[in-house]
Amino acid sequence: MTGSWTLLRFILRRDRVRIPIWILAILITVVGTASIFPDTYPSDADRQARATLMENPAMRMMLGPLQGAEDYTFGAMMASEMLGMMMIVVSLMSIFMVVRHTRAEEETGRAELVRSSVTGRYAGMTAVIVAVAGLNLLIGLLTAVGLTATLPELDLTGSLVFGAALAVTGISFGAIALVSVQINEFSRSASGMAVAIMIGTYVVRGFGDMLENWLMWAPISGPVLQSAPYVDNLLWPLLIPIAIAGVLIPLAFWLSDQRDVAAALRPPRPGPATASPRLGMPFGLLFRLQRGSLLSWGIGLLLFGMAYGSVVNEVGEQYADNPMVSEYFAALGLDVGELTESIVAMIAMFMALLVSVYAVGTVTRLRGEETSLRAENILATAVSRIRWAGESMVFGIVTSTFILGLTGVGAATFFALDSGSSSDFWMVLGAVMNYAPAIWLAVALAVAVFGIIPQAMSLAWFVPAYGFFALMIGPLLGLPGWLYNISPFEYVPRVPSVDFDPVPLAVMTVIALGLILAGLIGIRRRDLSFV
Amino acid sequence: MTTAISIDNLVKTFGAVRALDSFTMHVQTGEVHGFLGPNGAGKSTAIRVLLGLLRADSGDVTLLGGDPWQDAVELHRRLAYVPGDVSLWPELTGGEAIDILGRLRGGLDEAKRARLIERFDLDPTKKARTYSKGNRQKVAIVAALASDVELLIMDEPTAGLDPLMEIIFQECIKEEQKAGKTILLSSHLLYQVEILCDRVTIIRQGTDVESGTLDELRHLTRTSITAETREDAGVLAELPGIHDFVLDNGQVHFDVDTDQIDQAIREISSLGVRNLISRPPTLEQLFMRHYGEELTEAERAPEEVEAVR
Repeated sequence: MTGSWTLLRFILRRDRVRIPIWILAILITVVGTASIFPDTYPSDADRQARATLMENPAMRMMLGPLQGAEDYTFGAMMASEMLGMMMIVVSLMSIFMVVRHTRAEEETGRAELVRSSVTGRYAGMTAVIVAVAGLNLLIGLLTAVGLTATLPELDLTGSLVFGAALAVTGISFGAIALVSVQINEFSRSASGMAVAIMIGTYVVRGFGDMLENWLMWAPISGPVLQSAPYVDNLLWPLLIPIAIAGVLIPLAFWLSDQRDVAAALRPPRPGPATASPRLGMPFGLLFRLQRGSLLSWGIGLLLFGMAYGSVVNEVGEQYADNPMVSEYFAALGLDVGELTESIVAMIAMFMALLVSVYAVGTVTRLRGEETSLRAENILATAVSRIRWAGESMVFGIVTSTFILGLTGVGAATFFALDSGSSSDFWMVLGAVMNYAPAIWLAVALAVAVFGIIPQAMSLAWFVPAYGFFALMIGPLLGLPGWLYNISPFEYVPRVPSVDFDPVPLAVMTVIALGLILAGLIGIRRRDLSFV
Repeated sequence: MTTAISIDNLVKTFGAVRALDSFTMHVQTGEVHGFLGPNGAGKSTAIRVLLGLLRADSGDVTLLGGDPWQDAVELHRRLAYVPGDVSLWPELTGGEAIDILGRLRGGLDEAKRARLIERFDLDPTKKARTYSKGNRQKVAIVAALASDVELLIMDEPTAGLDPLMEIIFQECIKEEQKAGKTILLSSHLLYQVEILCDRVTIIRQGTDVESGTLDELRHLTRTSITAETREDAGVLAELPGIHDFVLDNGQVHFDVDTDQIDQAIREISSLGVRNLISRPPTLEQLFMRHYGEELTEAERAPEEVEAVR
C-alpha cells in the first residue's frame, strides 16, 4: 500500500477538471429539477395527476417503482422519477474513473513506470477506490444538502437517504469496475463489461418492477430504489450494495495478484492472419468496424420499440382525462383530443431522437479516425477523401434509416397486436418513419461540421441533444415556442396526431443535401488536422 | 535521370507558426534520399504535403509528375507510405490491416507479404491493440514493401524497432533500391542515413540547410585524427584548419577541415608517425555543426527558440 497517498493526490490532480464537472453536472441536474417542482405542480391535484401519469409498467421499468403514490409529494417524485436516472449517472462516472486510473494506465505502460518506483502492489488500486468512494460520498452529501436547502419540503432525513443511495450505488459500481479491470486486458472491454453489468441488472430490475415480482430486488439498482427516500427512508436495502462492494474490493485485490502487470485473467484470442475479401471492398472496413455498434443499437431499439408499442394503448386509456397530460402534449404541439395518437406521435419522436444519436455517431467517428492518425493510413492510399467520408455518411444514413424502420416495425407490430387492428400497424410505422428526414438532417449537419469546422466536432451533437431537451425538459420549463423551433425535430408533422404534410420533410431533405454538399466540399479542400 | 519528387520554395503555415519556410528538396528517380532533421523541424509536414494531406500555402510541389493535392488518388496508387507513428484499428489483426492497406492501394504481392512477415517476425493473428509500437511499425512496413509501387515515402519508419529488426529493414531497403524503387527516408538516425542513402537533404526550422550526396556533404565537415609521433607534435596546432587540438603524453588528437587535410598529413608524417588513426567525418558531426552552433545562437535569441517549437 506504500505510495497510496501520493497516488491518490496524483489522481485528484489529474482529474482536477473532470471531478468538479461531474459534481456540478449532477448537482445542477438533481437540484435544478427539484427547484422547478413548485412551479410545475402548484397544487395537490397537480401532484396527484403526475402520480397517475407515472403509474404504468413502462415507467416502472425505466425509472423504478412508484413510491408514495397515494400522497405524491415532491420527495416521492425525487424517489420515483429522479433516483433511477441519477444512479445510472453516478455508476457510469465511477466505472469510467476506476478504469481510467487502472487498466488504461496499464495499457499505456504508465502503470509500469509507477509500479517500478517505491509504490506497493496495491497502491494504485487503493488510491483509485478511495478516490471513487470519496467522490461518491461528497456527491451524496452535496446533493442532500442542496436538495433540502433549495426546497424545504424535501426534509433533511430524506435528502440524506437520497444522497446515500447515490453514494453506495457509485461505490459499488466502482468495485465492479475494479474487478472488471482484472479480467479484461483493455480499458474498452473493461468498462464495457462493467457497463453491461450495470445495464443488465437495471433491465432485470426493470422487468421485476414492471411485472411487480421478486426480480425487482435485482442488485444493485433494485434494493437502492426500494430504499424510497422521503417516503419510507429505508436504510437496510442500502447495506446490500455496501456488502457487494465489501466482497468485490478484496476480490479485485486478490485477483490482481493472480496476474502480471498489463496482463489480464482473460487472455486475448488470436484473429485471422489475412483479411477476408470483403474487407477491401467499399464499405467493407467500415462495416467491420461498425458492426458491433450497428448490432447493439439495432437490437436495443427494436426491443425498445416493442416495449413501447405494447403499452401505448393501455396508457392512452388510462390518462384520457388527465389535465397534466393534456398540458404536456399541448406544449409539444399534439392533439390532446386523440390521446393514443398523441402518445404514438410522442414516442415516435423519442425513438427517432435515439436513432439520431446513433446516426450522428457514425459521422463523428470520422473525426476520431482523423485525430488518431488512422485516417492518414487510408488517405495515403488510393482512396479519395470524398469516398472515405462519403462511405461513413452513406452508411450512417442507410443504417440509421434501417434502425428507425426496425424500431418502427417493433412498435407497430406490438401496438397492432394489442389493438387487434392491422391499420394501426401502418399508422405507427408511418409515425416513426416520418422522422427519417430529420435524422438525415442530423447526419448532414455532422458532415458539414466535420468538413468545415472539424475542431468543433461536438457541435454535431446539437440535433439529438437539443431535440431531447425540447421534448423532455421543454414542456416542464414552459419554453416559449421559438425555443422549440430551433430543433429540426419540431418541424416534423406530429403524425398521427395531426395530418401528414410532405412539405416540411421535403424542405428538410433539401437542407440536408445542402449541408452534405457544403461538408463534402470542405472535406475536399481542408487540411487534415490532428488536434 | 528523372525527378521523382520536386519541391521548390514550399511554404506551409499553421496559424502564426511557419512549419515550412521556403523549403526546397529534389529526389531523383531510383535513389534513396535521406531526409534529416531533428524533431519538429518540419519533416512530417513536408511529407504530408507530398501525400496531399496538407495543402501547400505557396511553392511548387511535383510528385511523380503530378500535383500531390489535385492528383492525390492517382498518385497514391504508385506510392506507399509508412508513418512514424502507426495507428491501427484496435479490433483488427495485424494481418488484416496489412491486407486492407495493400488492397486500398491497389493490390499486394502475396508471396512477398508472406516473406516479409517471416523476416520481420510479425504475428499477423494478433489484434492491433495488443501490438507494441515496434509491431505496429512492422505492420506498416510490411504493407508498404509488399505493395507494387514505384515510390516509398517513409517517415522515421524504424522508430520502435529493435536493432536486429533495423538491420532487416536496411536489407529490405537495399533490395528495393536494387529493384529500381525511389525511396524518401526521413530520419533523425544519422547512421541509418549513412548506410542507406545516396543523397541527403537536411532540414532545420522548416528550411533546407544542406542538400547533396554524402561525399559532397563530407567536404563541409572535418576529419578527426589521432596520432602518436616521435617528435613533439605541438607545431601542428599552428596549422590552418586545425580544431580541438589536444596533445597528451606524445599522443595528439585534432580535427581538421577536409580541405586542409593534405597539409596536415604532410606535417605529421615529417614528425615520424608511430601510429595514426583517421576517422572519416560522420554525418553526426555534420549535424552537430549545423544544429550545435545554430542552437547556441538561438539561445541568444529567445524568439528563435520559440520558433523551433
